[in-house]
Amino acid sequence: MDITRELIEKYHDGKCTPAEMKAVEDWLFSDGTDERYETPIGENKDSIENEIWNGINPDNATTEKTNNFSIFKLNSRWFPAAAAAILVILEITVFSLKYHSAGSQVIVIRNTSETINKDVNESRYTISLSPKSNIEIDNQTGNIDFCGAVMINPKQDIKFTIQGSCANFREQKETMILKKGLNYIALNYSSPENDNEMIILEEGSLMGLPPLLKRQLMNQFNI
Amino acid sequence: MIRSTRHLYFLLLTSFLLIFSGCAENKPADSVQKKYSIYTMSKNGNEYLVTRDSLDSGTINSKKEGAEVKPPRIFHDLIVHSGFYYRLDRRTGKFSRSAIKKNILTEEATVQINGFTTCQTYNWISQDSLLLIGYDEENRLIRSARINVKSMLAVQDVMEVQVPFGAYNSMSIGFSRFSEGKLIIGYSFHTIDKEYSYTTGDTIYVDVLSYPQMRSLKKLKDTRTTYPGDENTRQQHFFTDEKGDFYFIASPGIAGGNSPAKPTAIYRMKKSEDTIDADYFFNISESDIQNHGYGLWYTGNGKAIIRTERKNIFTGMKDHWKVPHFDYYAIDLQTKSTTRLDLPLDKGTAKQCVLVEDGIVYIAVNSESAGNYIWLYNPETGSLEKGLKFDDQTDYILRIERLN
Repeated sequence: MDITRELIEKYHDGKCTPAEMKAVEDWLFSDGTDERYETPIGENKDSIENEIWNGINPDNATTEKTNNFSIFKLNSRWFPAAAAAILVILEITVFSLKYHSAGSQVIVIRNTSETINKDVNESRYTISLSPKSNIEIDNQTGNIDFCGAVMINPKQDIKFTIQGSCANFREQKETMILKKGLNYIALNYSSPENDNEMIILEEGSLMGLPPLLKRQLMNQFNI
Repeated sequence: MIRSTRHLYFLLLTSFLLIFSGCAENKPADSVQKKYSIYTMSKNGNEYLVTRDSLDSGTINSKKEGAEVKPPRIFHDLIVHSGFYYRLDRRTGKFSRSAIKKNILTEEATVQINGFTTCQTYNWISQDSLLLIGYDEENRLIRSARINVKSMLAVQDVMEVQVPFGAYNSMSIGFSRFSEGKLIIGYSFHTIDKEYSYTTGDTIYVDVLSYPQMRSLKKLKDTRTTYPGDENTRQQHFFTDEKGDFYFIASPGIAGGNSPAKPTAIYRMKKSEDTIDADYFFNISESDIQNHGYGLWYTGNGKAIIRTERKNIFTGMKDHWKVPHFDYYAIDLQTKSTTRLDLPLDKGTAKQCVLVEDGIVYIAVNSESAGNYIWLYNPETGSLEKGLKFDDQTDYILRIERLN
């Protein structure tokens, strides 16, 4: 079923049939969410995404208001993007409510780019998220949930419990202290013998990986 | 046309080097030239190069007596030869010659290599001439560079070799052999996806090329296993015995070709022949070893040492590199017998950790329970004894090799 502006409006008005509701919700919570709407001609999807993501970051609450306001002030050709923005924000809100207690400092980053890393500078660490990856960091509990590949550079020694959300939930959890000043890489890796393995290593230990994998990671994280 | 272009390039390169490199001497500056080079990594991540005249005894404190390696993480890139350390810089494509001067690893001459930044296999053409081969991912070409390491001049060529096709998007050139005026190379193809995984095609390709023209003369295939060799700057994988027969290992285990259903095996190409010996196949995975192996070192008289993993100890690539699980076996290439050396289990996925000198095999082993030692193995008597000891701060002995 095509997700149209009319269908989204219908969904918000509570006038959808069960099948239409399911279609909208499937779209809302599927990985392909960002790929299903078209940006207006002449508009850059990445810039719209960046505005949305900046708005979600709790540290940028003011920016969020400003951005959302400016979106709604724009003419009607922005409407599909604005509707999608609302849904993405809704998605994150529901996701956060589902997994976290109120008041926890949770950072959620999703990199939909096919080629470029997404870099985030936090007070205690910086992270670089590789293309087509996502990460959720709970600063209060130290839990990191990620899918894909990420480099973490702590500015102080930090204890994290890391798990790969697209890997096996029970087996992949690992608690470790990431040391200040070192670069750590975490990735979900698949091989013929294990299609859902989580590898966490310090940059210097990259050399212990097969040459092909090592080169991929070194290129991606500019090591 | 090709020749004239090459000559023009050569002339330009010569001019460039004369202007910018000056008259670099080709002698390491340290007055005392030690015989052996040892590359270590400490538990805090620092790396050191230590030189010694003997590996038979004594103790090493890398931090106190070694040259700290800066930039670090080059241990899988080095080619150590006649007093110098050579390497191709992965970021810049610059091939450099360095020496230890006043206990500092010092770069003293460079030459720019175009098109590839990873040397997948190297071979010494003569005492002063080196052949590097690598895959140019951007332009999908196999390139080579012949470098005179005294003058640091390079002649670069495109080799007439099949590049990745169909579902394949990468390749590994695993060995090279000079034979009867020809160059023989072995390689395999890969499929890499963007989620950091890859597999290797089920075929070993061996090409016979004219040398130095690098034109294709003959193409061979073998499907008994896959992933011939590896990068021989990391670990040795091929050799020629006293009779002139050439052997190479194929390593499809998870730390190599990542097609572990195929066996680790040793192949042979007989002296003066440019075909894979169809009657010879030493299946390591189905021998008493029952595991995949990676490094292979010739020890003389038809015997070799193979470094093999222990599948019940590690769980996957997540701990393959840090858990001590490696065995060393002495193998007989003719009878295909295997004998496990009674050494502590070693750690580190790939290391240049075996050296043969005057009939004695030196093996560097990092054991968390039995310490870090270079062990002396005598293939004639089967004796094993401890040699040079490393201090407790040592995490890995990454390379041992003859320097002078």
